[in-house]
Amino acid sequence: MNKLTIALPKGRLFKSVVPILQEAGIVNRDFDDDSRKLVLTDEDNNIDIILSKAVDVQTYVENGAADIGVAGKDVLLEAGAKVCEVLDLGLGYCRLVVALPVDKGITNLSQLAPTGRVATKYVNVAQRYFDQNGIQIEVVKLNGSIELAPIIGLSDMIVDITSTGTTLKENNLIEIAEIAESSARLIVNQVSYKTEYKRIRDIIEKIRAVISN
Amino acid sequence: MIKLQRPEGTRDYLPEVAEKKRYIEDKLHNLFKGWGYEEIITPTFEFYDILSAGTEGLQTKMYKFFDRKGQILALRPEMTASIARVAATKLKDNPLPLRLSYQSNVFRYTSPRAGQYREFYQAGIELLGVGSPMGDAEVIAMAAKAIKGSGLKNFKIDIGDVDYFTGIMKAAKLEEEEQIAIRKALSQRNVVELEELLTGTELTNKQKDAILSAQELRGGIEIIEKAKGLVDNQESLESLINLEEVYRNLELLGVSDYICIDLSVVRNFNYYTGIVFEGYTKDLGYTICGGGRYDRLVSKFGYSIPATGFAIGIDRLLLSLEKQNYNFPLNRDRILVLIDPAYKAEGFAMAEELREKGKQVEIEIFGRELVEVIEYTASKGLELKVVGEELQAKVKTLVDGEE
Repeated sequence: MNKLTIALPKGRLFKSVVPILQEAGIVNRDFDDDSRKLVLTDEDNNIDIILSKAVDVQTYVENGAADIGVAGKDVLLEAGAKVCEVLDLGLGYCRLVVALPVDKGITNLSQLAPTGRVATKYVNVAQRYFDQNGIQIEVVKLNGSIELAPIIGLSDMIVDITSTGTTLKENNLIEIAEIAESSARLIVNQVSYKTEYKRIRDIIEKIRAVISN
Repeated sequence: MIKLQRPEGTRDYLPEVAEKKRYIEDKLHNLFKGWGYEEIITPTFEFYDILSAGTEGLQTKMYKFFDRKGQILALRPEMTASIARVAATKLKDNPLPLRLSYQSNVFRYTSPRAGQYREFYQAGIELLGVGSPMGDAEVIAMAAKAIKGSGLKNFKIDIGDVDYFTGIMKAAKLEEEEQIAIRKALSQRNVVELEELLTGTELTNKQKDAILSAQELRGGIEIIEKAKGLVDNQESLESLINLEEVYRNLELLGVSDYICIDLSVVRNFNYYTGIVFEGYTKDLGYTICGGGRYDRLVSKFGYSIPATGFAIGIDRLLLSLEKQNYNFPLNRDRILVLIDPAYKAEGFAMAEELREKGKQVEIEIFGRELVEVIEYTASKGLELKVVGEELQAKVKTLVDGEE
């Protein structure tokens, strides 16, 4: 039996994904994402777990460096990765939205000016969305605290993820359009899906059984 | 100072790699020739309209530019469109079928990553004028033989048929937009999205199941029987019978060990019209070759004939062979001939004689010390042959002295 490599995102998702893998009997031992070791081995099940930044998981999987991975749909949309998306884990639910300061008095997309400046981490998603809606935008790439951009006049609006909407509210921003819904997805390398078909199908079904409970 | 870098996504094939590339290309060339496929060479750049009519959704990935008359040109992103153009024009009066092969560089503006460059090499064939399952079988068998002949182990070719899905969607009279979305999800193997899309359609539960179950239908000939039980429309059933016949022919052609039936293989839907296939090995995270039937393409150029073919990515094949530590059987008989100026005629004649025997012969013309000549042969792995008795003696003393 060949060794399977599973890439997991460090941080928020990690703590909810590991128990699912354990309950599904895919891994036996405990894993800790605080560990400095980036490759953790489960000898019994012949599985390596690699820990990567959430935005990098699809890169490992697309290249075949990992066979299976867990990645947010928001990340997958942004990266446009060529991977098989086989299961919605239903974890880490959030929505990708367009938001802008409440005091502009705009409540939907059609009220927007034909051009504008958008601050976001999701450069490709934002560009594609506004292109489709015929609005010409200039994208400002930021890596965090996106909500800050319109407040200090760096941009007219933002594209970002929101789950409860609290952060938007606290910064006096209002959502005017939803681009996509996002949650954690189980992804598989296109070739691994074929070469390790039986084993990977088995893993998918076991995980599906656990999350539907 | 001139900028010395290469543009992103391009690569230099240094002699060691270029030699391996040539070895593979020669192997493939001989295979294609052996099956009656004649090589064709088309321009590196063509009118954008021609190339975009044929491509698998590669329009946005083409390198485009203008000529001085303002016409839009593009570097070819693949070869099929160019070959279809030639078939529909210059070869229109030739007897069918047309069997054509190529080895070419192609260009795509994609983000470079392992095994994916912006200029890369493809070898492939196109069989034009044959619509029967035997045509598909011949092309698939050649794909298998091509990969096997290159020395690669542990590879498989998955075959599917896009008409299986087309039949279901047509039977359910789905809106064009719904069909496009479902096809896209199938092509991207996005099961999550596929399930969502299917929930929102008018498809019966049986039809939904036929589409979703196909994602898990993978294996040998028994798969086809299972699939037949899932569908009741004529087009899907015919596609399965077609697939079965292709598989039977592949058995008779002796390549079925490399073949796996996988109904989830659809490649690009808007382009392919029947049997599709892709080859891969577990040693590479990407497919190595791909192809299928594209019966609508040539008619876009005014000549209505069926067609099928495949392309192998030479760079990916090379990468896979290297990952498998393949020992390329390369000619390593390399000789340096050192000639005493008094015996030039004899020396040149000897070099020529050795070349005729298939050796790779360099003549020492660098004018350096004997010690340096010996060092040079050692570092390049050359056998040293000396012409002229006096010189021979000198070299012998030097070599013996070192020992």
